[in-house]
Amino acid sequence: MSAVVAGSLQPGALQPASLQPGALQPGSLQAGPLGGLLDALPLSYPDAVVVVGTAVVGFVAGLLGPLAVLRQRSMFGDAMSHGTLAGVAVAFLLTGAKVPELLLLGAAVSATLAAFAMIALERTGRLRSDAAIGVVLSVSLTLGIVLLTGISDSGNAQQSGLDEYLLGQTAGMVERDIVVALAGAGVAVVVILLGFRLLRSATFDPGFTAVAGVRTWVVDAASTGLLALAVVLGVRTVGAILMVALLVAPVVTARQLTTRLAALLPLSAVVGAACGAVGGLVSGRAELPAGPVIVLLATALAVLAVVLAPRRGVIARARAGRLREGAAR
Amino acid sequence: MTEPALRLQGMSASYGGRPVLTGVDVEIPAGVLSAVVGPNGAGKSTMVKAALGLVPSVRGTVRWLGQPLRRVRKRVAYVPQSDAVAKDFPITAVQVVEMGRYPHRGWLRRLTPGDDELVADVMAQVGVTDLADRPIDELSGGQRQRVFLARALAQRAELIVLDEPFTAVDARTEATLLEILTGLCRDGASVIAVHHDLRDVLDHFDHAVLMAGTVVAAGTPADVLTPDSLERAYGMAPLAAR
Repeated sequence: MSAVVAGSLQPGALQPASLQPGALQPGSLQAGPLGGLLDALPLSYPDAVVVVGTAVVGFVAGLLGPLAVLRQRSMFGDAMSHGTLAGVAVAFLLTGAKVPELLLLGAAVSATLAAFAMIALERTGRLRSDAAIGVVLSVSLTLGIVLLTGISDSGNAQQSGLDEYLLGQTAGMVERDIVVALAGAGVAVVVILLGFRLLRSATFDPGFTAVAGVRTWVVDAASTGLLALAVVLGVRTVGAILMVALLVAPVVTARQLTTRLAALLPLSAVVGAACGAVGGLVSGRAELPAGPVIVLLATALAVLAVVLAPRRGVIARARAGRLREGAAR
Repeated sequence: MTEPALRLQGMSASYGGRPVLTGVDVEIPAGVLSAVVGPNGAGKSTMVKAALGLVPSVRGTVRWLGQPLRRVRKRVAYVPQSDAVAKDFPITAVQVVEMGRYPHRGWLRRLTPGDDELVADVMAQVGVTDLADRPIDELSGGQRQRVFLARALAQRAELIVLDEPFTAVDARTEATLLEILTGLCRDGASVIAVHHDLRDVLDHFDHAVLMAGTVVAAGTPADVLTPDSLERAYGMAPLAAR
């Protein structure tokens, strides 16, 4: 009898007992593309998918956000993310189905078109860049909303849920989404590692870098492409309207804590991943849209860092200023 | 015969369709400390940047050390105007100086121990050794400019081009920088600096180019900064006015 009990308590069988049995079943039965990796987390399977998925999305946004913030192109990234909506809608109209990869492809194409439109307006229309961004941002958002409204009024039964691209949604996330995000993350990490010196040099001092023989438009194109990647991966989870906050806020937090780019990039990526994971989980449990929850979390961290950071924080600076004044007296 | 540091023939440049430079023909000799002077909007910086390929629409012939720029990139070091460099960028002083080795090492390979030694040497030469690990945005204007000159020195270039190197720089730093630049010229290098202080140019520079949309005069500072040509460039005689 005791042998039977011991036998049923093999290590493999023990593991599920520590988790919620009901929620675990689907995960342990279907070996997804991640090969049961998600079962290793102390979470129910659906929660694990959301946490890992949003963490990867946040990681990519945090890693690539400096390309927008340090190059002073945050609003450029914002307009690109607003630009994704129309692409999602057009991809749906063309295919008539909600295949996530195809919708993302549509988002990528229209985000790239938005980027080209801004550059073209700036170059040939001789608009200042803020005006070019403003035009593209509002036109592409309008277009996206008109198309999405048209689709939802068409009575197509397939369309429900397309509007989640506006504010973001984690419900309905599946392992395949994580695989797509991981592939994007892999590309981002490799490009950043290989091009680190070039990116740093071209962003910090474009004149020196160009005279040294670098075609800086190549660096511009590559960083715009990477930004498009971050935006497209994040748009379904965080939403087109708020995506820019996930690009910017982790960078602000990390910038407060380090003075080297080589530390800022991984730090920002980790902050982004943490905000994604926690925000995704909380929004799912509280039945709130994921984007606002993730963004509120990331912004709260950024505010904390701006105020409390040891060296660059508001309080630390005020203290250092008072010390200097004291010393001067 | 040594080639001039910079030779421009029939150069014109425009920004957004508006012509900034027309018909620039000038030769700046090698081995001397040379200044490019003129009033605001005279095209001083534009001339230098256009010659370095940093301005999109440029016509005419440019020869650096007798060659097109692409053949002599390693031999020409550029120190841009301070507001052309990103503000609040996370980078330390020593990392900026190390950039001077990139034209030699490429953008992927590690720096060699020899590079590290050279970087340390030039930082000592301009007096920023103790600032090596400080973030660049915590340095004063003078300290920053020393770091950027150290980067140019680390490149071991034969020609250093500086755009307004003495703005927001304290008097002692300016004296140090001028001394180093003069020393470089004595050793056979060439220096071209965009500058706006005419008194300074008369006192310290070997050669001057006076600009006002085109070249008004070029030669020794005493020959160039005459009341006559100054009036043509500035519409008045600024030295007399002081």
